[in-house]
Amino acid sequence: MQILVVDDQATNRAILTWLLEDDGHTVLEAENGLIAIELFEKHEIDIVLMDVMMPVMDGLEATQKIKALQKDGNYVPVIFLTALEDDKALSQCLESGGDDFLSKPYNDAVLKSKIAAHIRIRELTQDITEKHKELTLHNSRWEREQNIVAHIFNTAMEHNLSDCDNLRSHIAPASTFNGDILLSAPSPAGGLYVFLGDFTGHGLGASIGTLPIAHSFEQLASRHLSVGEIAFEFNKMLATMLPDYMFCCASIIELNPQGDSLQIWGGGLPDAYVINADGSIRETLPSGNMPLGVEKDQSKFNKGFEVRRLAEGERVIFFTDGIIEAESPEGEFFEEERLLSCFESGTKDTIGAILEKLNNFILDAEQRDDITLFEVSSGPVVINHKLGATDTVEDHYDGILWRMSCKLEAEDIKRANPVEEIMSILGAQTLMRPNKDVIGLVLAEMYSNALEHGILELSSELKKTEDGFMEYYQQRQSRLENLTNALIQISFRLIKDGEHFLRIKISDSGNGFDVSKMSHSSNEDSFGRGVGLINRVCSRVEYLDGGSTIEVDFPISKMMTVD
Amino acid sequence: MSNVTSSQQGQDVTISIIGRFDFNILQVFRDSYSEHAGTDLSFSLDLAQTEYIDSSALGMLLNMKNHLGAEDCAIEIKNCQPNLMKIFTIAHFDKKFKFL
Repeated sequence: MQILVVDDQATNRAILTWLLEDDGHTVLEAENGLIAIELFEKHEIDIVLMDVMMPVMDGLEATQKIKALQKDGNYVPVIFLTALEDDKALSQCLESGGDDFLSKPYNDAVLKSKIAAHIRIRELTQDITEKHKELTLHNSRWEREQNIVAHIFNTAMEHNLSDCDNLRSHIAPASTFNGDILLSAPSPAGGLYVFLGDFTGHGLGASIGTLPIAHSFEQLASRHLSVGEIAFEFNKMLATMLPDYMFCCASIIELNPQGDSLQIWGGGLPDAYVINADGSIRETLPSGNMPLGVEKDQSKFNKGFEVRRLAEGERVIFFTDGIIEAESPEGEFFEEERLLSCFESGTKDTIGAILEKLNNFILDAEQRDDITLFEVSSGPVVINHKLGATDTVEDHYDGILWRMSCKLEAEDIKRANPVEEIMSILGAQTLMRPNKDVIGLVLAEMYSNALEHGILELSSELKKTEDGFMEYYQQRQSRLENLTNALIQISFRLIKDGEHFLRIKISDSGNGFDVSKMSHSSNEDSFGRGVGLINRVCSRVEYLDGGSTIEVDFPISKMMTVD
Repeated sequence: MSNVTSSQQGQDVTISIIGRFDFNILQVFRDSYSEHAGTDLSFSLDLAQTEYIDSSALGMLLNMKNHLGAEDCAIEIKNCQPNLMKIFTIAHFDKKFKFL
């Protein structure tokens, strides 16, 4: 340690220096307060031993100045060594900023132990100062990062709630980051999807999982998947992404365009309520599944969902558990009973009634968990400013007009499902997505015809009776098993003729058939349905090469919708 | 993989089809209703977990309807997913079966 000894008596300084150097310290000497200050400014001093009465500048003044020079957190103890003994003089020493005093003549051992004690305090202070600095640095870094992340979250979430007359919601996060997530998106058919999720916990940790959900929700909606399939996709994503102890309670709904039928998939959120036009409860809807991210075995995931009819004026309200578990200043929970009391007959504005009751209950208590609720009401879906997905199949496509083709030989044909394999490639194209199911159907029907009639030479006549129908597929199987030499060629071509079309051409190595004699089946028959389906959705259907080739144009710019 | 299950509750028989609904389940599908022919039971199909249908499924449904001698829209189809509904509609099946 470097110790500054301040005394006007050279003998006193010499004795102290000798004593301290003997203990391993380095010593600087000053003969008055002024020199002490100069030395203090120039050197790293750990402890000051200060005499009181000195010429030029006394110890009290010097101590004041030295203490003023000390930077924040750098604690340099000043110990007065004084011959004065009255209380007033000693208290003056402390008032000037001194940390301790020792009366002269002093005892060596007492002096040494005082120095040791003050060194310990100095070291502790230095330690704390260091930690404090680190903490301040961490804090400002954390704040900066939080701002960045908050920005990302806000932009990710802000476009995700459609302005739809059928949807009312209330979102109250417990912190900057919300572990609850509420999304809505128009369905390609003109209906509305809503996703309400509650990740375990709250704050940033819980919030993280909301990002990928928000990101892919609109995409899944634009593919017009069922609520069960959306749940399946999310479960798959979260099961691999989240740690085991984290999951997401969620409800996913789809309101049809007419707004009179609601499909509901529920996993782990509190009961939802179907509300009568008069405000009373028509039905309680418990959630039937485990939360998303829990089931790691995809094949066990239940894609099933509930369907409810909604009459005029009826609505359904969904919540996260934050509302039931909201606490009053006395630490009491809001609980289901208080919630249920808001569903009184005669209450027009249920959400308003709930929020009023909740606010009067929470008062100034700290909100512990995120609170989100939404209400979806019956009636034709009106989305005020339509977002992305409703532009449906935007014919803004200006990418390349690609082609794809494949040759299936006997071995490929015998495989379980070549059409499915092809569709998994084709379906990845954004342009194909909205009509993926219908394109898949057209392809499957064209392929079945080429295989069953062209190659396996099965006759549709068989399918006229129920037993024949059975016989037909039995023959299909046995002929397929014995197939040795065959070829089916499939080609796809994206063409632009005003709008975009997908041209699908399938040729088989069979003998073709007399196109003019193609039987026209009625809607009652159990056969010939495939051709009818193709004719209904394609803008052009042509048979070539004596019936062994079929070429169709499918208008992909149009959205096939169902009323 | 596909799976067909059938359950009866009072007068109601519900047949659920899980996975792909096509000719590969022809036999099991037929077995699920054929024993009830000539009874007064009402039938419904639960397609909540059906992932795919094609024209062979449409044929199988018509066979079922004819086999049971059911009137138009006497057989109910429940929980049909939107992508399958599209196909039923294109095939005008919405007039032959009652979709719930």
